[in-house]
Amino acid sequence: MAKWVPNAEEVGPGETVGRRLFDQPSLVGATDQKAALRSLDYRNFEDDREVSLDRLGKGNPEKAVMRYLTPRAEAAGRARKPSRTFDGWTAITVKKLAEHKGMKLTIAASPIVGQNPAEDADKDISANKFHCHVSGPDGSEPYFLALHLQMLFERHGTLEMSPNSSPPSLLKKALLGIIGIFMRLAEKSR
Amino acid sequence: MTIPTAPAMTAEILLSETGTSWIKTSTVLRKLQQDVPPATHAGSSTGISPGESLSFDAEWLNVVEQRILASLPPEGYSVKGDTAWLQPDVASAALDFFKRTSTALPSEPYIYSSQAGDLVAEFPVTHGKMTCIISSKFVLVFAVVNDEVVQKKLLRTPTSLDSIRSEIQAVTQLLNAGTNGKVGSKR
Repeated sequence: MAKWVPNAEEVGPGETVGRRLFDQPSLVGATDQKAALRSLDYRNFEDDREVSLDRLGKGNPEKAVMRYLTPRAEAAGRARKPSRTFDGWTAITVKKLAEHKGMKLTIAASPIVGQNPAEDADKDISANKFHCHVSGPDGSEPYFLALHLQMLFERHGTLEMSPNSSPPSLLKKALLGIIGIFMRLAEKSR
Repeated sequence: MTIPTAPAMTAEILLSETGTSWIKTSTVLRKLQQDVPPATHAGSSTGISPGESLSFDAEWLNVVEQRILASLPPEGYSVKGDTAWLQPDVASAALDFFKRTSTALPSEPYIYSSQAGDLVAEFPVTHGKMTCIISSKFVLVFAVVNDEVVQKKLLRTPTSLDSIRSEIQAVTQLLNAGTNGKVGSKR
């Protein structure tokens, strides 16, 4: 199936958007702690007044789109100091974000033009035609925007593995599966 | 006897052979490091022997204090961008915060450093969680109670920790009431 071509002007309510997840270190003195199941690390949502997202599919997440995005996400992880490993996305529908009552969220398309226009557009990993961002009302605290997003993705989101990253270990697969089941059960119980 | 109080100081009662006396711990972090007793999950005890300390803190407080102190970077190490370590001023603020509010908080926190260098403390409750972000200048509180978001930004001043404690206690009570209501309504 051909890769979905997103509307560069606006993000549709039926689309699925994802926030990239990266490995996050524990505090040196707190490695004995255990994170709660279903929890997503707040650091994955820390950004500025606008939080970057990837448009993963017109409806459900699409593998071809995630294949396009994965090298970009991995490069973004390598560019961080210290570097981070890309662990897939937490994904949610635009509708769920838009209907959130706790903070008015605006989702806007913001495709990134590559720095090497001569290259094949799909090979230029500085470009991202699936980029969009979410923002809160004017003057809202970036801290609270990140906390709202963390809560929404924890409650309504799913986990999406990158289709072209190295195959995860059986243990990691099992853990992600269990977390996914808990997230869906929690969603159904609401 | 006058009880010495000062901003950002912690105090504990020690029972000595001669009776009860107040001991101030230093505001200097290195001094705090020496003062915090080894981590234990000890519960409350009824019999107090001479020299034994009487604690009015949550039972997890010592463990969390130890985690914070053990996350201080080596002398001269720049922690900017490295969330494996805590900035000393944030660690100091967090120690002070937990010391003053531990019994008003809903559970033992899961702690880590944010990218911005603040301390994130997540408190799981039965049907959700409360999150506090602690910096040297403010404390943010965020929780969802019966689908209603509660969010507060509480500025830290030398005298504000008591009011911060009251605000947090109110959120914890809402969380507990919300949880109980939800459980009750399913029956």
